Amino acid sequence: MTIDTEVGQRVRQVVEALAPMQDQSADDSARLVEDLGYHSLLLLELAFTVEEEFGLEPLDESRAGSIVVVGDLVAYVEAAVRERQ
Amino acid sequence: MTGVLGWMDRASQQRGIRFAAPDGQWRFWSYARLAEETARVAGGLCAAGVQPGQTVSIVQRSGPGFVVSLFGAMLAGAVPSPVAPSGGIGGAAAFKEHLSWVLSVAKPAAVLADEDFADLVPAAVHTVAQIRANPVDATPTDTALLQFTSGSTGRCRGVRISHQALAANVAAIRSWIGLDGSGTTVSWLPVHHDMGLTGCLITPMVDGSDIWLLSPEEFIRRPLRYLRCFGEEGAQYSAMPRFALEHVVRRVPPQSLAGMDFSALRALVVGAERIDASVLEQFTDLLSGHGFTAGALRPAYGLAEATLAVTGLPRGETWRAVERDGVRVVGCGPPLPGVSLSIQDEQGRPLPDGCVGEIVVSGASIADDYTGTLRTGDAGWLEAGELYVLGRLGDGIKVRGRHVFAEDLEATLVGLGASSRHLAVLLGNHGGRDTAVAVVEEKGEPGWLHDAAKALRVRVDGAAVVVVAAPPRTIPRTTSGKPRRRELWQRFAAGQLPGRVLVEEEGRS
Repeated sequence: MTIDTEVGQRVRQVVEALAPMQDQSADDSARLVEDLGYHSLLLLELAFTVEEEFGLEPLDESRAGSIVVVGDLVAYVEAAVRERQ
Repeated sequence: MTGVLGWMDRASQQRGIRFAAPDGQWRFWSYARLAEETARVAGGLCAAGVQPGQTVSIVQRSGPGFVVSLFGAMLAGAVPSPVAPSGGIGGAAAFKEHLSWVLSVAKPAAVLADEDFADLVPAAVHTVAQIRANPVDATPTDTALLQFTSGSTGRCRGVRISHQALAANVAAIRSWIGLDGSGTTVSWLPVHHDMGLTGCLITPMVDGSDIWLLSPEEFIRRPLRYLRCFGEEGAQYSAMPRFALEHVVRRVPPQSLAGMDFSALRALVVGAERIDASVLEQFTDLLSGHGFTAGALRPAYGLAEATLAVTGLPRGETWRAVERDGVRVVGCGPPLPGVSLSIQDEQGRPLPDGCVGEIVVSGASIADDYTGTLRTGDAGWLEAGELYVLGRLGDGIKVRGRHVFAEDLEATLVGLGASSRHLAVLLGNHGGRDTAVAVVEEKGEPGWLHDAAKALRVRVDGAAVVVVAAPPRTIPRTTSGKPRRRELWQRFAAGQLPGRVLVEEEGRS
């Protein structure tokens, strides 16, 4: 398993654990708000949990702002982890 | 200076607002310094050609710039209208849509924005640093605030609050809470909506007492920093909605409270959405080993259309809950001074104690659009002078402090394939539970129905969901074709809605 797919798995686990809609799977095309039931405060909590989990700097507003589906978040975190290494 | 601008004349060098900085420090701004900057913003707005009575939108995060913009606009005789910024994951697109909607309704003569939001505003935008000029004398206006309700994206409504109404509600809150100019209020609430704006910013400023202000992001990230303001610094007053109490209970480990003392905390107002008795109990359990008593919790009822506060539990009393249809409903206290309240039926006739009806409010703090009497659209009952609130009547509910409107949900279902001419969504409180009912005039079970039930569940997070397939022409409509939801809701509530129930899911109570 490459580092990237490991990161992706862990991001999906975090997304599923915090999601209000527990019967939906967090595959890459699932939308955080419409499909998984995230609201604004939970999106903040998701951001903080991901930062803690991967030891990242606070999410970059301009890039994080355009995240819509789980795949966007996975790509964002993978890039941030690569940058750090 | 009179009314809510009166604080400027008494502005102290010693008291003021401490703004939470991201580095864990607090930045102190005395009221004297805030008053000086407020006068400069007012001078700048006048110099920029803003006329008395015109609107000034404020697109700024919680901070000194927001405070001086708010009062600077009032001092210039203009009407400040705060717009809540949003950020974080997925925030950019939603915020753009929200901002363009709010600006199209407010039609501001000028916009005072944080630098990074300025690009999103089409015209007449300034930062606080750009607008500052020498103070001038301006003509005061009648309207103090154009306040937007915290609705879901694009759908919030503007409410005009007069200086008289604002001053009346601030005075009522001070007397209810017992503010005497010497305490400390702590708030992380957005300063853009009624509870954070009128309750936790304007009221303590008029009182001349100290404020500690955190951003909502800071509270969600570090709820312990907020709790330390009481447990270590001895602050006395605060307010928040139920979901914030839940957040504290979920995110704060009991051992992290070691050494803290909450005995100075006199009033933690709980309002803005349905209050859950078990959440009040869990919160008290978490803090009770550290000097916190249940008597500090002050359940309250209010809404932006009444400036803010309508009822609240008085000092010295402990909250109580009454069981109704298997659900414990928390009492929100009697009306505040200067506010009167009645429970009325559909025809506007007052109902006796214990009977559920629409909450109708009158008094000096009602918004301009309602000529003194406000039919709230909320259902509740009175018992021994105390108000018990059940939820919305027919056309809206509140989910996590935000309004969800039936029209929005109908639009969602139409997007999935429903026909708008054969669809009505009803939202209200049924048997003590927030409930969403979709009435569809359909014979079979079209493919979009499954997605519709799922979409409703997501949007009303935790409320009960019912989908009914009804015969043609079940949905009564106005001459312009709009569904008459209240009438349909009454039939649903009375069990008189024809058709087959396709989906019925119980929500959380």
